[in-house]
Amino acid sequence: MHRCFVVISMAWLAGACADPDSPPALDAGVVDPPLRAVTVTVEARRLPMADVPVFTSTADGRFIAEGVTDAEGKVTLMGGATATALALDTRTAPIGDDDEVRLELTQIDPPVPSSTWAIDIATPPPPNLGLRLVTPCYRGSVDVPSVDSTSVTGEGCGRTETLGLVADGTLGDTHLARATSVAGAPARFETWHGIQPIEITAHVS
Amino acid sequence: MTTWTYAELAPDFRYWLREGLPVGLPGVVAVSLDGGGHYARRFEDAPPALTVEATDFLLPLQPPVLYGDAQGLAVRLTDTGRAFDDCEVVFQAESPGFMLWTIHTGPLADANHVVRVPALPDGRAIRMISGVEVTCIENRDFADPTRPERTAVGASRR
Repeated sequence: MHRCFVVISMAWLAGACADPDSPPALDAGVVDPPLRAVTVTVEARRLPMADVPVFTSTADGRFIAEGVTDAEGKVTLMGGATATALALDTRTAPIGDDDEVRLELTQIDPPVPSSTWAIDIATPPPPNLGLRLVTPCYRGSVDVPSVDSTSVTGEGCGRTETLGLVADGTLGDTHLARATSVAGAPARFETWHGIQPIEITAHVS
Repeated sequence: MTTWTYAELAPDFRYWLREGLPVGLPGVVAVSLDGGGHYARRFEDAPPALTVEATDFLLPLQPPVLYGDAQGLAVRLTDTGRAFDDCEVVFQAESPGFMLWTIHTGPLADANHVVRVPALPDGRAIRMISGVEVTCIENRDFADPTRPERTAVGASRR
């Protein structure tokens, strides 16, 4: 049996508690789902997060069960209305009707691993002051030495299927291509899209 | 006011741009109000221009009300009658180490709603060290591509 003692030290918070003996009731109609096995997946920028403590709770916040994610970022627990990933950025979300929930953390620890991608730049970009490879799981980019490069190594998720290739030009002359790697074949970049600035007007005073 | 754009390379892959949209790829233009919510439109092709009016933005949320008792902590949202795809309740806490909590509500048919902070497995105390900020979103990820994605925000009174 787990018990929770809550410390509230902020004066403003105490002031917000109009009646500490009458905590807010759950919304009418909120009923705890029956206990059943639920699958929790913890990711950060689409990378599975291993060894993250996870626990499930009832709708009114009572603890049910806890576990730790495996190498695929998954753990199966008894639940429950919600699941919580207990990390530096602690995230709670309701468990879906399919008995699954995905918790997306923003913290990456350990850092994004290094990967190698096979690429084929079938059509050179119009501008070519520098090529960069981008992946969904990493906000940075990996420099591509030249349009003749067939392999690139850097930080980013290797399991992703869709890749982006950014060709830097002079200001306002950037181009973008995307490619999908199928069955381990090189990601083939063929079509480039120019980025055109648009004018945005806001009347919000 | 802040404006940002991104290109969608795949449904789960957005490439952030400083300005503009890539022709031939779906892209998003969003305008965020300082301390307020955002209004975003998705385009299959780059529009030449976009004009945003004050009425395009959602009204702010009512300040969330905080509660604490022997059962734990709770946050009440009081936007009766407003529906959202999801709301995020964010606050900082110590337990005893620093924790940044983000609690998703899931879909709310009525944002008059109590959000309970889950009790920790080992019974550790949770000490809130910040106010509470709430962000609620409608038409998340452009589920209806003909409508904008919009957010409304609210914060507890200090």
